[in-house]
Amino acid sequence: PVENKNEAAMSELVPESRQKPVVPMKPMGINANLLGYIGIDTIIEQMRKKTMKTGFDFNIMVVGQSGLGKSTLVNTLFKSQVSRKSSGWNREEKIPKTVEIKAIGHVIEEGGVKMKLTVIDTPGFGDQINNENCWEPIEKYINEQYEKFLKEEVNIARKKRIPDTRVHCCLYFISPTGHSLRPLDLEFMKHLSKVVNIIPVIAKADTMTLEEKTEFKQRVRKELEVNGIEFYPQKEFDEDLEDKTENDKIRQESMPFAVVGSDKEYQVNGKRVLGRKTPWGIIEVENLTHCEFALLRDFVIRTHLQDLKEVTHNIHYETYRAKRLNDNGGLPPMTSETEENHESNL
Amino acid sequence: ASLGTGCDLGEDHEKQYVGFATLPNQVHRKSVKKGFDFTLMVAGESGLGKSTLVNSLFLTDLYKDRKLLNAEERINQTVEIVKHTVDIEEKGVKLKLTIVDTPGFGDAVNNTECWKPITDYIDQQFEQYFRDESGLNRKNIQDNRVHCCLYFISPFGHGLRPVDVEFMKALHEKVNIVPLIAKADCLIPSEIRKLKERIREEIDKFGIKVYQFPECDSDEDEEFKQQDRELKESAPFAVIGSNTVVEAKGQRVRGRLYPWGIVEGKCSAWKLAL
Repeated sequence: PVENKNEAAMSELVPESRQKPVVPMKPMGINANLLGYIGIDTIIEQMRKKTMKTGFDFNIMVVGQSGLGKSTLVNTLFKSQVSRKSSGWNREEKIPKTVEIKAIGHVIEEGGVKMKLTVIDTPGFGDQINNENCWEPIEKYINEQYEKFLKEEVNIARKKRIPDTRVHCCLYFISPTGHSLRPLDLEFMKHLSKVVNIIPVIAKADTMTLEEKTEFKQRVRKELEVNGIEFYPQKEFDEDLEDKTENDKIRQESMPFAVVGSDKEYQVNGKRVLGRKTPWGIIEVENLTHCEFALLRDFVIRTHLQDLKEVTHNIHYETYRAKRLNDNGGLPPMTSETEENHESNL
Repeated sequence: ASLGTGCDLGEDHEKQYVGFATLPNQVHRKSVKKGFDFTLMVAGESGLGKSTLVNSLFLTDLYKDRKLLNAEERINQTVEIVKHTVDIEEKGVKLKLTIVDTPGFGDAVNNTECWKPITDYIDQQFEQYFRDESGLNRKNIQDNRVHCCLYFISPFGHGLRPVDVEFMKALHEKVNIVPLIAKADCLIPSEIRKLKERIREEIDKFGIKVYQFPECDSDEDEEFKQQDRELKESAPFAVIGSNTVVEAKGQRVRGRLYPWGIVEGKCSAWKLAL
């Protein structure tokens, strides 16, 4: 089973963009001086080539009250029209009476690498008068994807590459009230941080001055800590000291990212930038003195994309799988097909 | 002659001049002496800038000692009614202003009927006034009835939210509701226009009776009439409040300092209405 696990993860590896220092291998009873260059390190390049050929899946969910700019932010993140708002979905439509789950897939390509991106929207969340348990449809959807993957995994005639619909990252949009988190925010994150990677973001941050932003972030961080909410990157999954140092800085200073999204471009100092044109000046989305969008983008896409997938697979999915196996008396769940014809390969 | 400024009715009327045309001025003088009472209620979710706006409008700091609850404390919070009173005097005119705050409104996970404490409060004030009015000593009746309710609509939505609609429907026949779009500096002009249109449509659709500014008299001058028209057309008002003073164009103004520019607190249209 250990080998199988690594195989599934490796089929979706992308090259690490951060350089880990080279750790010299400890020779084991052999002459310490290697007589020449073997070329083991080329495996990185080989993996990279393979990934470019196969491409990879990334599934990102957005959760938050209607109007917090979720669709716009996702479009800004991936510099394409990938959200529900852009897929002919009329955003002026009424707020649904219950939380709905809408998944939209796109294939985007960059530098020869193909990404099958799925954006999962959750319209109706937090918009009703009574929002009790409104996170349940979301938790159910996430678990359903784990179940799907599990069933594929235990199949004897497994697909070479199991389609991965599991949610790798959940962006939770906090309303920029300037006071503190809302009771609903706490409830959602308490329940869901145990099943999915949650990245809290402060939406529409152009509503706050620099001072207000700093104070608000501090207060939100404290509230999350006091309530034991482990948002991504979770402290307990830091692999080594390097990870811990890097992630500590992000956890304690940068997060939650205060973002502004926009899909319109303006001319500023001779450059075309994404922004919002207000009567008092142009808010530049990628300008770090204006908002932290660039930090979020770098974090989710440029440095931690692979880690998000790995934590989803190795931690959240494994937790789900263990629970399912335990509930089923140590046996994997059967699909109707397997029940008829095959035995489980476990 | 001792009844104040006379009215010039022309020579032929001089013999029949009684002088009661000075009555409006007398009322005016007495009112100024007595002072005015005004009770303003503010309602809306926490964090929409209600307190900041009230401070902005009345150039005061009513909420100095306020303690903001965090999310955990708010889980079990119920809607409260909190009153702050301040005496304001300007050019000899005294105003006893009471602000009725409604902390906790719309903040819980389950907000079913969260407006009930508010409608109960309003009814209680009516009941009290009614009793006082029917009483023997009516000389110094305290008018604690809510004269106006400012309802703060979030600028982040796409229009009215379910809780906004239900609140206004529960209150529109008990109090004058003036809906406002809060924290309007996060919206660009085209967004404000769209949002106002959307809100106006929904107010019509749901049959909500918001406060209608009275028609101005036909003998007012054209400029005033124009201002009045513009006022009515720009409802619901998009407001920006500020507690801080910043430098703008060499002047010190109440405003908000952002990395991309300075926003001056824009309450002018609203002040006119007040």
